[in-house]
Amino acid sequence: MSIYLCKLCSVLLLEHFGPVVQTVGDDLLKYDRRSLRAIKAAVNLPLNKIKEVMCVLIKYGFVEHSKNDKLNEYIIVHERILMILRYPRYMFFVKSLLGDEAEIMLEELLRRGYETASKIIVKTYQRLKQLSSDRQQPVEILKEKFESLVKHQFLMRSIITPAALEDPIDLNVEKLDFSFPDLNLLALSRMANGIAANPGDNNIYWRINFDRFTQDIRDQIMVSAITKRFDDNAGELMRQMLNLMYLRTAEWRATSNPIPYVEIKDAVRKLKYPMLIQHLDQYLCLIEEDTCQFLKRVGDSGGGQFSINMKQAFTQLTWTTLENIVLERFGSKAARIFRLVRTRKYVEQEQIQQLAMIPAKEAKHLTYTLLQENYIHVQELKKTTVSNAPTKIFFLFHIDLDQVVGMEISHCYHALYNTIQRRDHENTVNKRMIEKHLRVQTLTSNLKEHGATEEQLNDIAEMMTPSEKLELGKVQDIIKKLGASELQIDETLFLLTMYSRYQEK
Amino acid sequence: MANRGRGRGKVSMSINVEQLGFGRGEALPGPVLQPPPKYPPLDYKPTPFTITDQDNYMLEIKRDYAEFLRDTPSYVQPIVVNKDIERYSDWFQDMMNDQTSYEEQYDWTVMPGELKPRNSSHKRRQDSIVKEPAKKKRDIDVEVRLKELERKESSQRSDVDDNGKEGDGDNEDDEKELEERPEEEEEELDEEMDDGTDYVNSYFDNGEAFDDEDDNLDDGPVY
Amino acid sequence: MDVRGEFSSEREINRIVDVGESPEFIEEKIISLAQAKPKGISDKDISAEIPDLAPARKAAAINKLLAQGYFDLFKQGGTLLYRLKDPSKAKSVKGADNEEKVVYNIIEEAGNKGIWIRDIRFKSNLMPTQLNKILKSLETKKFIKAVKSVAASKKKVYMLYNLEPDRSVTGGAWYQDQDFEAEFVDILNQQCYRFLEQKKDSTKNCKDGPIGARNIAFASSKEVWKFISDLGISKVKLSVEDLEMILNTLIYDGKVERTLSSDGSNLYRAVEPLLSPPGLIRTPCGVCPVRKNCCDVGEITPKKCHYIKEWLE
Repeated sequence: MSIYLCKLCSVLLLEHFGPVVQTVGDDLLKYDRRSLRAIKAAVNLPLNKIKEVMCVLIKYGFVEHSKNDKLNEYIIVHERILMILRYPRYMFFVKSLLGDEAEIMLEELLRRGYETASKIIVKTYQRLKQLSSDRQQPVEILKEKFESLVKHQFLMRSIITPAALEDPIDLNVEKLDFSFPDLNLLALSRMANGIAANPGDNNIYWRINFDRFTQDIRDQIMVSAITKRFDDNAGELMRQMLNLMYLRTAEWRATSNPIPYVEIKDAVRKLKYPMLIQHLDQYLCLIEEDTCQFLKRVGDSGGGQFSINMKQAFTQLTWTTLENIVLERFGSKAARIFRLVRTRKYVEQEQIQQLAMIPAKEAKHLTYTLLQENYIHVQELKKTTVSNAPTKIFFLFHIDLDQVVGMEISHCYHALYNTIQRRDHENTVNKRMIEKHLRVQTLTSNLKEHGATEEQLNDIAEMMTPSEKLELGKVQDIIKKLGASELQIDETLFLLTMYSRYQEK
Repeated sequence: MANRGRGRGKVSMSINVEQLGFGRGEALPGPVLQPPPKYPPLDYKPTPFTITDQDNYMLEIKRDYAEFLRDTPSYVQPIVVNKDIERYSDWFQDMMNDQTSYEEQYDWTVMPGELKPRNSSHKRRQDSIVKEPAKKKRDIDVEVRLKELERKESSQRSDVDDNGKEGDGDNEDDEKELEERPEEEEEELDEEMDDGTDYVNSYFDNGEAFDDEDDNLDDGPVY
Repeated sequence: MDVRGEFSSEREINRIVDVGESPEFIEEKIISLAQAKPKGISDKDISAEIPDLAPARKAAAINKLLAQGYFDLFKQGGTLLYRLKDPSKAKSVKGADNEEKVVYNIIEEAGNKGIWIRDIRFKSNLMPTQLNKILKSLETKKFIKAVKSVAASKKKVYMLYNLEPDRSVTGGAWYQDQDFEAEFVDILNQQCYRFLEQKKDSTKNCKDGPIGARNIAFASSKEVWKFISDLGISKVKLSVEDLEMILNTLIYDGKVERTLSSDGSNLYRAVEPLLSPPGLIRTPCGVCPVRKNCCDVGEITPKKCHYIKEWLE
């Protein structure tokens, strides 16, 4: 496991949960699974603090608890900590799919780790009320929103139940439960207005079904790839195909079960894509015949049967990603060589310069650079041509895709870690100014509430000198740019992780 | 290297040099006389970086989320031992972060029981999550905090940076706690938890610095 | 002798006239003439080709050639004709010993691709010094020639004197002398792509659906070849195969795809990539050349990083 994965998890814990959680987290990250006693022996913190941290880690799902031979063990889940990077993406996704209320609910659940539906609904009600009166929604509507989140399987019943605690085998069997409890609406609206009541779902906790989001983001990548390659019609067709895949295929299968043409046609008819309806056959053929190989025709009955090749799709997307990385790091000629080696599978140096039409010396230099940076690999082949001649050694260049992907995944971890470190550094260096700005802001809003005059407000605003304001603007831009690059690096990481995931099967 | 190779025969020489990318007779690069720069100039700059509206929105969510957590009990606070200056933020933290009463934040029917804090048996049993009035909560805080302050008056360090002597002291306390735990649990008829904790104790007996005590305590639950 | 041979001998002659008339060049010229007329040349033919050649010099040259065994002398209809001997027979006649014969055969086997001196040595089992002598001798007798190969610069290959070197030796259209014309290749690469891209853009208003549009976007290598020829950017004459080599580089650039048409010819089409550049390489850490040295301590750390600093400014 990459050391940068652990380091990245560690700084993510620090940023969101503070140094104490990080200290305990580091110990768990080092050993993967630990008992409380073992943590206590390694970490110099009072036991109560450690327990408190463990509660936090369990609450947010970063640590799973298992009883092994009656010994309580805590297992850290690295991937789950990395998800923190993707929370904004998930929230944005839900916002565009189900609207602002659903987004607030998701945010509340992310903030709390797990929670009852009633508490989330009440909190959402209160937050909306605070935002503005015209966004106010009655609890009935909010309950429906919550239910639609469950219906889309973004949320699931928490698998940590009293029964699971007693019999931890339950924890290993992932039984996803999406059954929604009966809620007392009257009690809900009383609670929303600050009156204690029993909504009827005590102890029924909801968690976020991250796997659902992972699949949705995965699908989004495929749809936008097809859109970029062809057009919006083709992209929409891909989206419909993916929807049809879910109806007949188990999650994370390498290929979907065959989707009959008739069903595709039915799905497309419901859309407002006249060009797609008119040329459906052509679009199917177009995607199927393309080198990206997302779709495959697997039968001819009933106008044709089509299968989505998920594994192949992510292999192609990964190649494209790696080719782009090589292109931007070493230039277009290096990318040409990289693609050439990919296409020819095993190729000699001489063939490389001939086929790539690059001067011999430059071609060699680039090939060796790629070799040195581990983007391509070399295999020796010994062969005796003439009996009395010395053994001739052929050097064949090839690409071990899994190896390159593994390297780039840890490159992403490293880049994310560095970016977060740098952002933290910028925050620390400019702490005084940022805090001053914060104080001025708080003071201004407080005074505004108390009806301060324009003059008073101006006085406060002038507490920051123009040069300070200028400097602050710069720092804010820097922090923003670093934050945005975290989001963008994570996109690359996500795609490469998808490739690895399909390879494991 | 080139000069040394020549003595051993021309044939092997020509292979070597050419495999390195030099033609025969071509000048080899001169000796390297200085270390390479720490940050050599980039041949290729990163591709233009743009922040889309979607990025902007997600950045806001990202920042909000981190800032929100910072003000919740989930952002576990170190025990600050010495408070020489009274800060505005202290008051705020006291309100938001109740270090010793984390027990109240969790539904213990769904959390491993061994994670319950000690020294707080009088306010345990929070199975139903009816919120306590905030005021009462704060009173308890002050009480607990005062106790703590008393206990560690002399110390000037926070626990995170802590090491050595005091850590040992804590250790001792904690060991005791792990030992005492079963009895408390029994009192509360929380037998399911009992076994677990008990096992942890005996399992780790050997090799610890508190062998004697542990031995005594192993017998503990029997009587 | 084929047409190409005639062409090359003509060129040879022109060169000689340019340079002047040393005995060697006169001999060469006579040989070329004889090569052009395999049935034999007469004294008249020689005079017509080199009108201002003094009879004494002509006689000296012919005598020398006859002595070296280049020509057969025979009479036809009262005229004396000189006919070029088959070189393989020639060398066995005079001035060639057994070793030369062996080396000659090895070189002959190699055809117009030529053979390296090292390989000749392995095959002939001759000592390097001896082999060098033989090669020099064969060269002066114009049985063989040394040609610089583009595959490995500074390496010569040997082949029979009258052979036109293979493309793999000269590098074909892409080489000027022994130098690969990288710029020329780059320009052709760009122009071919421009052509295919324009073809693709023209399909935007296609009413025949996406497949129809795709099919219009395809261009055969011949079409591309015609476009490039019409542009007139190449000073040498390019073949369709030359252009296909260029089109292949576009495939390796990921910009173009190739399909076989129903008649077996290659079709090319510009394609859109599946993805935009990944987020990783939009950041300094993605393209960092010193990442391996980057850690939490020392001079290369994310906090002190010059690349990040520059990027943030």
